[in-house]
Amino acid sequence: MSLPKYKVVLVGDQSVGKTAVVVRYLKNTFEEKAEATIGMDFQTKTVQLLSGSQIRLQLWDTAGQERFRSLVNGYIRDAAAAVVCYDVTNRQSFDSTTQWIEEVRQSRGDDVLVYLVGNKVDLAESRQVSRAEGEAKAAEVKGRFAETSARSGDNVQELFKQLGEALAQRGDVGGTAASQVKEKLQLGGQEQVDKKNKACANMLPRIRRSFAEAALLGDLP
Amino acid sequence: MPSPAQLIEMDAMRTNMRHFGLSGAAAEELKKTVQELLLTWQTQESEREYTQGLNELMALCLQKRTKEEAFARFKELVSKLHPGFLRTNGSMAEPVDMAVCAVFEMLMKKSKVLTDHLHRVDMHFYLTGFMPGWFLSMFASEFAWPASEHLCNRLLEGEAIDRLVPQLVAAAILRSATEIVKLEDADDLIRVLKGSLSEVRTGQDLEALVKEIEEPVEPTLPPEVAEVGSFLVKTVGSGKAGKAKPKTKRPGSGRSLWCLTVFFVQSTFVSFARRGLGLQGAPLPSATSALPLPKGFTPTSPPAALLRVHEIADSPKKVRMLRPAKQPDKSLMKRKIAATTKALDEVRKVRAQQRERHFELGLPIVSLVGYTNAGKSTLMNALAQQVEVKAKDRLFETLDPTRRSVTLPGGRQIMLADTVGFIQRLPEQLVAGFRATLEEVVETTLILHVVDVSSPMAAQQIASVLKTLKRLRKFKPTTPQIMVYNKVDRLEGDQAEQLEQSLSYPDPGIVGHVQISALKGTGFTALSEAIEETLMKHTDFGAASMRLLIPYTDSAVYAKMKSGDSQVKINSEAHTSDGYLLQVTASTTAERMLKSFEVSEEDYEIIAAM
Repeated sequence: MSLPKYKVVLVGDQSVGKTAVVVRYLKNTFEEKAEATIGMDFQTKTVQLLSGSQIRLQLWDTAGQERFRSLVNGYIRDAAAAVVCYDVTNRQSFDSTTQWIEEVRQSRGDDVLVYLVGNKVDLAESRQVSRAEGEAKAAEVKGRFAETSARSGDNVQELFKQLGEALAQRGDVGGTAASQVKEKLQLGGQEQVDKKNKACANMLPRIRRSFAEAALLGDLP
Repeated sequence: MPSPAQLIEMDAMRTNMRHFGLSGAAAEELKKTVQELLLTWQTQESEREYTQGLNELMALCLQKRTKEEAFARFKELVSKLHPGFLRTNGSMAEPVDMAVCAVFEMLMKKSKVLTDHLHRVDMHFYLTGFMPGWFLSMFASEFAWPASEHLCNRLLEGEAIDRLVPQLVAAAILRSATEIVKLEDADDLIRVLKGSLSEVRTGQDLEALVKEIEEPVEPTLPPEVAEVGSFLVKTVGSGKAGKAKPKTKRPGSGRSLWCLTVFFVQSTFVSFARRGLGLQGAPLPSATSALPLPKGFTPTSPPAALLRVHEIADSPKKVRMLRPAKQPDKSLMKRKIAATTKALDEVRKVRAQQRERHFELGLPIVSLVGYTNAGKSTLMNALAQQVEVKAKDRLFETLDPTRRSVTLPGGRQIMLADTVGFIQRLPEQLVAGFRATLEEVVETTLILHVVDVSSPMAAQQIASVLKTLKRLRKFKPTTPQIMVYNKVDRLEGDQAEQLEQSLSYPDPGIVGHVQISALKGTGFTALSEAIEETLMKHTDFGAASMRLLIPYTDSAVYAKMKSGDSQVKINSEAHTSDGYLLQVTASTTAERMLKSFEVSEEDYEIIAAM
């Protein structure tokens, strides 16, 4: 019954429009002054593929501020795709993508699908980063490229549609389809603990311990 | 990366205004002030740096305060935050991990089942993402502002934020626990949790939420039920209940309210009783006998799960979160149902494991089903010849389906499982809860459908049970079912025969019927035989396939088989020079007896070929 689920993490500097892109995609609306995302937020949407089947995209919208990076890394580690956003009117945010992509590749290697997305193309007059530059960088990091405008809605639907298709084609490469992971988890026991250990390496050691204990003790009173 | 000043400028304009119900010029004004004060704060601070979320906190401080007041308040609140959130080189992971761990530790004390479930769906992972926002903006994105305001006040009064925030999260999870344990997807789970948090609007709501988790489980002193009435009068009749008992902080808490719960829980049960028993024409149980009061709790005793149900349902801490002044009956009933559902979930988990073990033992599971008061427990006791399964004239006596290993007269060992009575028009939530318990039936080998034939409503009751069975998920309609017409001793004259003719149900599973009186102990031999026969004919149990070579000197054995003994079924036979060469399906008992005649597959082929 449950559809294959893919976790997609959106990263990039603050105010490049990560939340706006997600909101445009999910609700087809735009807010001029979206609130800053503190920490993380996520939404899920079912995507209809060309093949007729469906998948679920779980979009993890993250905080842009550097301070949150230690947290965001945890989400990158768990994602099937990373949408690295920058603001085409802000050169600095484009430069930062190098670091973001590095971060993504470091923790997920080539398993992860990287999308470089230049947002705010509606502000053509104040553009600082050309499309060619963006495409070049995407090619350089073996990622895909798109330019969007959350305000006008340009290319936002297409972006996620393509992303969905690409993820479905890759299938469970790298074991990132959440549903498959879950299936394994449901087998319970040691496997569950192992998976957990991998998933939150260095992240929540204490929780992990109590989880392992719980698994050992079993459920019988 | 933009400088802190740039970031403040950016974020101040993005401050959430819905929280304060502001828009237009007033909102712009507030944003400007937020920016101004944050910049001032940043220039004063050398070791700390602005973090996204503090803009919300500043806006919160500015509500109904002068700039100076707000600034002082903000500074003090920020000093309460873990340095990891703010220090230039601090690690946010540290305070967040600690908080998430604290949440799980608190929940662990309340319910292991719930905590395990949260682990399973990776809840800690999701919580990690939301924690910073909850810490930095005092739940601005979830609570209504009076509640956030109250939270700030509590912190300024000296409460530790590192404890209070996890407490609120844990309490909110606990509050929606019944819903949460049903959800397998963390997405849905977070939505439920956020919904639960967004219900916190006032300071009182917040207090109530905190209380839920920090309340130590008070020992439940079961008062005499007869006292219930008088306590009820005290609580409802005089608002001075609080004064009369100085330890009670608010009217409607503590012992008196506990009694109130007992009363309403009982009335709930009595109202079920009316629906259920009224149909049967049986007398209503009196309020005093309808509910057993918990008299202590031993985790290993058989009715432990049942007691746990009462304990969870009746413990006073559950009552606190109710608002007794407003429609106490409705919400209490709701809570009661919720608590029961929760307990049933726990029961289900344990059952699933036991079921697995019984499967391993290779015993057929025979489930007793039937309308309430049909006599399932009495029958079970009679069969098992033990009294642990308490047979009482009570509804829901068997909330925890007890099971016993029983040896039938023929030597066949079965696992006999008693299930909860089926009641017509059960509230939908309860049906869901009972469905969990009724999973027993789904994986059963054979069903004994017990019917109180002395009831004028017998036909309707049977129909009701059959319908409920069909509604169970995964229930195989072909599961063999023996109709057990109980209480035949109550029937007069030739009624039994008439009954046999009138009651016929074309259900695929029903293989036959037996008349018994569980109380008088009549008809048990027939029942045992029927069970044995049904297991043989309709299931794989005991139907071991064997290859036999019976020498002609032992032809008595062969003759016995041919005589129509239901224990052995001959599938193929050949008369060889060495003896009767047979392929049979034999019951466990017969298998033991025939063991000495068994030949291997290889030998069988050789002999057959000769």
